[in-house]
Amino acid sequence: MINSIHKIVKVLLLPLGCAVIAAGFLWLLPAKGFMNPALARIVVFHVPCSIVGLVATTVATWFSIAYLWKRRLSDDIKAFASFSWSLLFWILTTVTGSVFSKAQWGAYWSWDIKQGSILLLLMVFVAYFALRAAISDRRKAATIGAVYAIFALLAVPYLTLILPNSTPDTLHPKGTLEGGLDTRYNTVLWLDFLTVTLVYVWGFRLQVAIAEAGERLTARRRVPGGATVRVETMERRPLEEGAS
Amino acid sequence: MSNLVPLMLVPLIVWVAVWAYLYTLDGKVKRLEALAAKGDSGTEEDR
Repeated sequence: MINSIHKIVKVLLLPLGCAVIAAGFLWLLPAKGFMNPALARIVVFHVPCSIVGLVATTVATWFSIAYLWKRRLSDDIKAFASFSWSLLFWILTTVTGSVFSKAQWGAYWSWDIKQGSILLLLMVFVAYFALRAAISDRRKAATIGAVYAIFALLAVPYLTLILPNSTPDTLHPKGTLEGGLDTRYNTVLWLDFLTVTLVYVWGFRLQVAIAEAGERLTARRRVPGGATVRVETMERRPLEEGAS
Repeated sequence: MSNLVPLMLVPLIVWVAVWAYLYTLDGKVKRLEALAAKGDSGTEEDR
């Protein structure tokens, strides 16, 4: 039953995404007060990416704390997967933000405080993957990565909310979600938020399933003479649960 | 508005490609999980 619902949601996601893109380009009216009013519509794709990026970072940190607490490799796998997706969404936020910057200020990159802080944020996230890649021991990489992830979460509100709002000298618009958009813009923005969230959940589950199955198979290969070992702290999931 | 149609095709094509990739990967993951689960049940039989 749950598998059928998951399948229906996945299939419906395709027309939903197509409808959101088409509405964003064809249904929304050009935004007034911009150098390029047509291009300014990208705000409906930019804002959801940043919100889901924040959610994915929070989920990654949650599983990092869970790993430090219970030392289960499955928690580390989930933290790593969510961190990967959060980096993707922060990159998408930066790219769509640059297009918006071109529409509003005439340049893709203006070294505005918001742009500078998102660049710092991307560096913090890339460092997480570099740090993990530099440690060959699986457990050590998981532990150090989890500690780093907690500090990365602390950096997110500082770099996305506190620092850019600490000065009035910024080009970035404020109050976009607090009455700054009309009904059409709000409708497309929140439908896009739903689409991006579902893509994140789907991709996250897939990445976790691949990594967990890979861990099990790799652990068996390590033992000479056959398939007779189970990963020490990985709980076995029923096939029905994981195959959704 | 008609000027935006070619521009709209870019994210539309990217989105369809991403969705198709995820959907295909979904099937592969199910097979991989079945393989891993088969190995796990073999472990119990060996005992």
